[in-house]
Amino acid sequence: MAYDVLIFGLMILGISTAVVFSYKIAHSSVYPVGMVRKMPSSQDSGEGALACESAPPADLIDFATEGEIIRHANVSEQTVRKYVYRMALRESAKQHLKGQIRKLQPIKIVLFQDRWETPFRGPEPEDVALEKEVAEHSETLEYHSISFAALEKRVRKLEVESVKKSQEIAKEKAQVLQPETVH
Amino acid sequence: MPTSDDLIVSVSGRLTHDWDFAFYKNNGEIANRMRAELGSSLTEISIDSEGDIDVRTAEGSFYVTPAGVIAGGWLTNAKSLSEPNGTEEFAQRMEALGKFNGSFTILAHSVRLFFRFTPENGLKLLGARGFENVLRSVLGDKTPSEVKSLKFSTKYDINNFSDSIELEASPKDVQFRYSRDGKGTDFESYRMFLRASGLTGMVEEARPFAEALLAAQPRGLFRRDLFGERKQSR
Repeated sequence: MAYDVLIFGLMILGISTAVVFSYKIAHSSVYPVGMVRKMPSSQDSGEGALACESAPPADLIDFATEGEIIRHANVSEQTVRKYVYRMALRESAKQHLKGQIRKLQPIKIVLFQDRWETPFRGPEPEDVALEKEVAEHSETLEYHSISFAALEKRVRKLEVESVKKSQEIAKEKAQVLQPETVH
Repeated sequence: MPTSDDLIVSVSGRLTHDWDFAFYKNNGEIANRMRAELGSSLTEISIDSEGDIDVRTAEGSFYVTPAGVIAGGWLTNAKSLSEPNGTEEFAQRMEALGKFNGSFTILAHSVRLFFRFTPENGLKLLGARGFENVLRSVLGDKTPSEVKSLKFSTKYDINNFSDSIELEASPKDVQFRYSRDGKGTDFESYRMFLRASGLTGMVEEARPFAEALLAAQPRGLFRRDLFGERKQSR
């Protein structure tokens, strides 16, 4: 009899614990990846979203415009801004820890007329190749212009030196011949 | 009084062609061929720290680069420049050195005449000839009575050429450069470019200015033709 009461008590405790935790999970902002939480009807309007601190999906942040984020995720501009800032900080800390950032860049979020740009999105491979090619080309041009300027300088020096030398020789000869022409 | 015919002139030139991508790989081989073919006319030949070929001859220096040939220090006088074949040897040497690189499309030709004068109070003389007005146009009443140096340069197009004039003066001397550039497509060769550019005309244009500076030079300078007979002293 006592054994049956113990079993029954444990069942009640388990069920009540499950109910309480399910309620807590359903009403918290932390939820497992893949679980799509149903938005409360009160947040359907734009004003209601102001109070919401939930995050918009990451893919929207990366590729969608500000207007699209607000429209599709039902969140306010302020929320998006906070989220992007938090993500930027988190990404910055991660990059710093991994040692992938050699020089720490200031966190900068640029808001254009209709588009978010995060400073930590990596460049495309073709962009890197193009940048490398442009840099190499610039270096070559710079080298040639320096080389050209150095040659020009040498030629100018040569002009002055050769004429100066000839003039000095002419002057010396004229001075040597001067007594002959006096009388 | 010395005449401007006696004036020593340094001729510089540039023959620019398409970039030779293989030049720095083959510069040793090119220099060897130059030495073999130019023989006794060469004073010295070397490859400088930049990889360009430095060719010295009795008449002047030449630099053979991946972009063409640059000549400097070819001395002559104003009178010789006026003669029909006055620059023939210079042109021949430029073309000969240019061919060692191979056949490339000629992009540009250039020639520059350099004159040096040593007048007494050269800066004041130039100021009186109008350069002071340039400074006055900038500084107005604050124009200083004396200047320590002067630099002036200008570029302009004339017929098929692009000309430039540079004047540089210091208490020691007055240096005057008169350049003429032409497109490579406008002339068959460097020799044709030199003929068309009319160095005689360039000298004639500079003559009044040169004579004013020569007249202010101390006696004894330029009284002797560089390659000719000594002039009679007056």
